[in-house]
Amino acid sequence: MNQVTLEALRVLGVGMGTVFSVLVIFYLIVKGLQIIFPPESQDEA
Amino acid sequence: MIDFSPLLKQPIMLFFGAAAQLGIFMAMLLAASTGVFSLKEAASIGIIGAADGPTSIYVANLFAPDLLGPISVAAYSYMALVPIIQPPVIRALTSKKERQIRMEADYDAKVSKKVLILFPIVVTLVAGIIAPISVGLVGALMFGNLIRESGVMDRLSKSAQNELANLTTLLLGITIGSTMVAEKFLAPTTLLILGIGLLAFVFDTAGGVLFAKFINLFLKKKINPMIGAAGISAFPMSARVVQKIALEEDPTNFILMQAIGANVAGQIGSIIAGGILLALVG
Repeated sequence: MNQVTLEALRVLGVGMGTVFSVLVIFYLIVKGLQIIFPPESQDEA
Repeated sequence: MIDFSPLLKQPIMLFFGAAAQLGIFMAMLLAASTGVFSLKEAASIGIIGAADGPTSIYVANLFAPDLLGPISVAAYSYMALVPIIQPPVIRALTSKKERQIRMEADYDAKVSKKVLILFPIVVTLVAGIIAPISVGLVGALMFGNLIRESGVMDRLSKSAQNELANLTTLLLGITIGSTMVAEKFLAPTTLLILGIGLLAFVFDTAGGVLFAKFINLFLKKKINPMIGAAGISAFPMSARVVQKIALEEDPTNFILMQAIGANVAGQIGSIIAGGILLALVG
């Protein structure tokens, strides 16, 4: 296995982990925003 | 200019937008293992799996300008071929019973206008803190959404969705086409890029479907695993493909709303993955 492949493997692990982590943060942000600003009768989409 | 409300009504779909980015990193690994490409070139080829033309162009332009032509051709071609690429992969990884799983959808779910406006702003800020290099990608998507949701820039929003988008597409096509000179484009590496790009879409689909099957192990109310395949950025093609297969299996099963939510998540996931790739490899 060459050096580039090893580095790509590292990027695969770190990259997928970071993508999931960031989207977990976005999930929590959405949930938080929905708690702070619940839908109102005249303020809905 | 995308509408995030289908995703904000069911934010759990964000996880499918993450899982379906597997193709980006697997394609990068494949490209790197050939020994033909450097890590930056391999990352540019991998980003074909984002199923997002502008993201592919942005990353390839920074990391491998010489490969911009073949990468753009592969990205846009396979995005158009999603209805041909995804169904066999979905069918191979799911049983008929799984494809018939029904999902409840709350069609009357509401999202506050304040949430719709704050979401793109907060996401851009968070993405900027985590990976500053990704702001160009994330910011462009979120700006388009913000001018749409703000409700006070209707003229600009319509221009961006129509004239500006058409002009940009034309100019992108012409400028990228002009880089595709025969000496660079008609080379064996172009075929290699096209092959790896196809596999990137296959891995994207497989990643989403297998992730859905995995979380089904822990859920009482099962998720139709086909939803995972809609976690790519090809919007709304991928969601339509999933709904079409669901209808073929059961003409009364409608999972389009959930699939659209996952598809929107895929758009966010792909630019985040692009930004992370820029941060890790750049």
